[in-house]
Amino acid sequence: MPTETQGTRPTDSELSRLLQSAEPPRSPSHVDEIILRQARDKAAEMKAPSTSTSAWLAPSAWVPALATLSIAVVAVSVTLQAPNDGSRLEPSDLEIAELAPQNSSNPTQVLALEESTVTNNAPTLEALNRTMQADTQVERERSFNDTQAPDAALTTPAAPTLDAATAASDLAAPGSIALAPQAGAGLAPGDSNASQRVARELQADSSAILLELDLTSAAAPTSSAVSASPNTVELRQEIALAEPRERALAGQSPATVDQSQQANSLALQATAQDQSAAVDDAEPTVATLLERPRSIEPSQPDSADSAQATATVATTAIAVSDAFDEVDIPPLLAFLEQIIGQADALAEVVVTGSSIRANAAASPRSVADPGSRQDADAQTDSAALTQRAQQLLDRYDALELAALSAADARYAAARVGFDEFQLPDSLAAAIEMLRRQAR
Amino acid sequence: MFEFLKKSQTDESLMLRYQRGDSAAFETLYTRHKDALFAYLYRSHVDLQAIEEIAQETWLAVIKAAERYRPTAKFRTYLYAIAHRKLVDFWRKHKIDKLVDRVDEKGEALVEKVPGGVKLGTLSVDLTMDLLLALESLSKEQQQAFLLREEGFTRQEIAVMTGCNEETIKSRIRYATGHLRRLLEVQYAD
Repeated sequence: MPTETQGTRPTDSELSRLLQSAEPPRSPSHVDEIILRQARDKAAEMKAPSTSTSAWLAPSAWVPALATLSIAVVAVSVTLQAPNDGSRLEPSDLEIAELAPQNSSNPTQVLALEESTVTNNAPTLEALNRTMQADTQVERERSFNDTQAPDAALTTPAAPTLDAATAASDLAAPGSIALAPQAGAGLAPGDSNASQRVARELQADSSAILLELDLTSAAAPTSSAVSASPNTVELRQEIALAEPRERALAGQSPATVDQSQQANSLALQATAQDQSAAVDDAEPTVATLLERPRSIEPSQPDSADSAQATATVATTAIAVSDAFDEVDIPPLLAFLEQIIGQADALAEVVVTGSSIRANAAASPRSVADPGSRQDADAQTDSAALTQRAQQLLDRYDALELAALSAADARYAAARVGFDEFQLPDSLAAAIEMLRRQAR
Repeated sequence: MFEFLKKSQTDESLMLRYQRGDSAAFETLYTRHKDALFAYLYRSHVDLQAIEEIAQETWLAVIKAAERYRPTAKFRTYLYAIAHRKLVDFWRKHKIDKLVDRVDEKGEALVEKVPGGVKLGTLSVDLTMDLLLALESLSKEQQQAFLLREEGFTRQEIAVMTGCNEETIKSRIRYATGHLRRLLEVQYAD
């Protein structure tokens, strides 16, 4: 039926019929066998995918689990790393940071102390941190000895000097001095993340702070205040515990230890009183610490406030100088006692800072003697010092004119050799200063 | 009854059964399409050994990808798309830009001297061979478009399988058909 033609050409349908009529070769049997065998193997594999080892080796089986595990590990590591970060603020730093705005009654002093003592604060800050974190009293003593070794105020045999008073002030006012390097290391003004981190860490470590408060509450002037004063008292106790061993290792005379210890203790106490007066309205309990993370900001004065901060340095220096005059009672007292009461001894000894130690060394006191600590405590008592000063003043008032003139001459001669601090020009002025302090 | 049920199952359902481990379902599927696929490959290429290789690779690819099979299209379209891709890969591998003409002992293309004298109504083997020879004179794109249409695929399906747009497939089919009709015109004239 050669019908459907378009002229002499086949139509599309004819082409299709022609193509379909051709009998192509059939699929060879050996190809069928290969394919069906592969299909059966694959079917057995797919039938029990849970028990097949290859199923577990397939990436689709373990990649999701591995991804989930990785995310979990990262989350846990981040969570654990946050409180263990070495650059974060320590609990003691946080406490210190909260103390800074509490000195707002005298903000210029805070700034001045930051700038004037920032270079000398590293050992002191470290000592504070270690003190807060120490578990036992022995470790605390050792830590304090190690860190205080380079501190001239505690290691030099000289009587308390201006540096010693400065160091004591640093110890007594950590809030004003310790924040600057810490904040410079990790915190920026207005850093909300840092503030949140501070608050979080403070909450996490509040128990440690409370424990420390319990330890210091016995020596604190007031049980409710967690100001610089308790820290100072605690440090004073630690100094008292640590110094005998340190002095004994250094081979110094016991009397020298007593003198230095007395001076340091008095300096610490005096500075603590001063700081307590400065923070009269501030009682930084743990609750207030948690409520006020803004205390970070004062340590980072803006450029606009830099001029004001600089201007306050001089004013604060004067205030600090007044504080030095107040805390240097012991050497002044010893000096005047020798001028007034021990006239015969003055002929042999040139009165200097070292001579005072030499005279004191003559007293039969032992560093290892338990009583020395009691003496030291007694001497650090302001009441005892006041009594001692009053006795000296009474003795001065009882001097006759000739003896007074001679004492005045001895004072003028000995004043030149006294290099610990600047003495008044005359014996009368020195007595007057002592009388003011005694009052 | 059993054979009826087997035949009533669609290719897609058989493939899903095989996905669950039913090897009999695949055997049914294979039996249903193996010869048609082999014929398509045979019309596309003259080398029988190469056709066996391509057919085997096509079915093994289906088996290997059975776990990921989703019945989003006809299984037959899926199968021929794989076969077409394997065919193109074979051509590229052997750097065959144009189908090798069947030549005589003198090296002359047989398509140039298609024997006549046979009317279409007889549908002799020679005429069928003439058609196959004429197919090989087409470009591969035109040949594949024509052969896939003869396999029953729509232009849209062919476009998806070959990665071309539908208008291109339409043009290729028209050109292939006209070329084949001109080549077979002599036989018709006789």
